Amino acid sequence: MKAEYATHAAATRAARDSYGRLLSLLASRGAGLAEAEDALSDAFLAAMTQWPRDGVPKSPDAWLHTVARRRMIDASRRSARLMDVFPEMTILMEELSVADATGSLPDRRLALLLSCADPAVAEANRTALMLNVVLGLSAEEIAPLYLVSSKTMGQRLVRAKARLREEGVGFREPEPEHLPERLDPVLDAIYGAYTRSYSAGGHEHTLTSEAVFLARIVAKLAHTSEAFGLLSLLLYSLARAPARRSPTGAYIPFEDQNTDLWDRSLLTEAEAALETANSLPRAGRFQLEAAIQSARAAERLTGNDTRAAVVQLYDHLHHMHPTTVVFLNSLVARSRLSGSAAVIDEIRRLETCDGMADYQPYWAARAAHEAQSGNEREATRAYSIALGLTRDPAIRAWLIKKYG
Amino acid sequence: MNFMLMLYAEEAEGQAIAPDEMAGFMAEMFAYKAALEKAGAFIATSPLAPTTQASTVRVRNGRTEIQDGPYAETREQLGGYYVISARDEDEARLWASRCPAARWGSVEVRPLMELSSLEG
Repeated sequence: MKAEYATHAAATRAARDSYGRLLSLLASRGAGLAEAEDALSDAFLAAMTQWPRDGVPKSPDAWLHTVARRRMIDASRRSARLMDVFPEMTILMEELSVADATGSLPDRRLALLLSCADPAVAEANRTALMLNVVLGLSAEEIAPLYLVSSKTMGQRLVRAKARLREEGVGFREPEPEHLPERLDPVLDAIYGAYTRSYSAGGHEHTLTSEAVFLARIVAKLAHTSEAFGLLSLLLYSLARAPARRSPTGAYIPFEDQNTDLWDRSLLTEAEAALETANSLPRAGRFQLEAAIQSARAAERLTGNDTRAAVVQLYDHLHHMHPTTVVFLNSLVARSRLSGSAAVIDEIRRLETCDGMADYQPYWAARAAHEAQSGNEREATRAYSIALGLTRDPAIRAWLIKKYG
Repeated sequence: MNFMLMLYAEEAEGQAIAPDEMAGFMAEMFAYKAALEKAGAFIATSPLAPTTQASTVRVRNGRTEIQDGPYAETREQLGGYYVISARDEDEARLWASRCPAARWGSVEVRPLMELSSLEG
């Protein structure tokens, strides 16, 4: 069963990989995204009837690309929707094991990602658009992340694609010197996809690995320090996922995790991505956040005390990226080094700062620090607010067990 | 914008819950209200008595008809409500997704209309 699951996951991955490559290539030839999507759906449909009959072509991607291009110039397009085709395509890929027949086609997914994060697309829709056009996720799969119905998400995606067309946003890659700044909104959107699916908990959690997949694509194609920084940051988090839940599904916080369960290959990849980020010019926010994760992981794995280093890294991060959330995290890091008494007043003062009133991690941290400082009434009040803000059932149960 | 979150659940199931488990649910509902208040989103809430205590009144052709129970028999019954203030529908749905009752029942989100928009 497990092996079967792994094969299916690999096939899904392969299908998503070639979907984004092909769509970016088709869209970069001047057609609109919607047209490219329709043509690609048709090509997938054709593959499902022809490949089992005539055998699999030597380069499946090249075959799909040729058919899709022909469809795009064909006036009588049918209108099969991708969401109907994708599950079957996944099955097909499963049977084929097209390990790496994609090498001969150029990869234009970076241009596609950049256009998804274009100012013409509302910031709130960028992440959804990326998941849809670069990974081929359907509106149904994306909708729960945004707490909207599949229908509403479908309409948002259609509108976003129409906007790109109206504004004449081309699928071009910028000059290398402009790349880092053009890339920022792309990285923000990928980070948003990860944190959204992470904090939703439950089934939506599975989309965290899709966000990591996007980060891998960007790091590989854009090769900037921040792209590798983001990839590293997300990989550190993903590597801990197996240890974050007990066999019965209970939440286990970082300090109590069994590090044997951390995914070693993801950790190695995270470390390598951080090294690459460090070797490239322009240190940035994600790179620093990855460095913090690296130091914290090292402490659990080697027993070496990295608390002071983490505080320094947070100070540096706050200097570069002065948000209330970063400041809160820096206070929590300082509390680990010097105790809660050193930071409790500052944590209390954050209560009235912008965005903290309904920020669950603030109230969870507040409850922990009030409890450590012996203020039981304040701890109970903060815990109650944290509980009221929690969507993830596992975190909910953990809070109740700890403070309830 | 103001919204009403309408909490629907199967009454019979709710009545079958053991008292100590119910206390846990109530604590979660209390926490939810505390979070709404802290965020400045809370306007009003109330649980409703079970539909066995409901009656429905209709006036048709000058005749007043009274029926025991709710207007329509459905699988889930309206068991309570919150009125909240939210930036937009997305934020209102986020609050609905945090509502503990969404896990055992369903929460319908409806914008409240301004009375003035219906005048004139």
